[in-house]
Amino acid sequence: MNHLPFIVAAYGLGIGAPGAMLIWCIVQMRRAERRTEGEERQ
Amino acid sequence: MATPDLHAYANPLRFRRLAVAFTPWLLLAGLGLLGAGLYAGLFLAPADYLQGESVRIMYVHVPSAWLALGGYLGMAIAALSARIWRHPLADLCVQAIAPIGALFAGICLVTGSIWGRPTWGTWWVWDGRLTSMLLLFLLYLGVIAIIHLHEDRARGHRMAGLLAIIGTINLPIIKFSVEWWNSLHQPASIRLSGSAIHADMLWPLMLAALGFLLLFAAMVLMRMRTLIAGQRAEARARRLAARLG
Repeated sequence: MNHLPFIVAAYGLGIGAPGAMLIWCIVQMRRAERRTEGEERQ
Repeated sequence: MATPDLHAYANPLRFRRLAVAFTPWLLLAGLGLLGAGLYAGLFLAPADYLQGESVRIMYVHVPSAWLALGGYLGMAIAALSARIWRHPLADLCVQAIAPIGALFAGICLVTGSIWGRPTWGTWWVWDGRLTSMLLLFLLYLGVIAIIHLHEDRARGHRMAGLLAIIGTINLPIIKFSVEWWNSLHQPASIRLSGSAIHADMLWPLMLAALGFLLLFAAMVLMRMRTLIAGQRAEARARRLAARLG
């Protein structure tokens, strides 16, 4: 059995899913902090 | 000897200042170590004499399992400290950890299934280890759902914290399931007493695990900052409403 597709799938998920979560965390954090700072400045 | 006072970090603004300072360093170190660990796991570490090349899935699967378990323990400790010491950031910590822990539990389950197909000849078996790991994933989802479904946020946090604490019963079941019951899953290869893994495979695994751990910590800090900013916005809206009403 060729193991390569299994390895590619596992690494794709292991890198892609935390990568997507990381981007989501950064976007949410920037948006929330910018909104709070904007409101406090008003 | 002076004992560390966690309430010194209970002030959200003081905690935020620390989080702002630490986040980029954790992120950079995590990405660097993870990149090095996964590269070494893919290209430098040897194939296994029995499993062949598919053993390389270990460098993603095992750190994910460790973080899913460790994250749950951290979440339960935060829930406990929210109930006992009323630490004002503890409930936010539970809310911050839950989706990230769920992600790693999900990665562990799926990569385990992918690893199982060429190794065991099946994607899934309902044995003790796999079933208790699936239960851990569902517990994470339960904590997330309870926090978001309750209209009364304080009550939602209380109920989610209770589920997180009760769910710790599952952690030793996951750990010892391979010793208590017959399982296709192999027993632990790395213990406090030593490792059954060859050094050429162990160091990439440790690098990848440390990289994933730092990335996990950076994401929790970022989620905490998001939630603290949300709390500040809500408090400000309440103050404005009180002033106008």
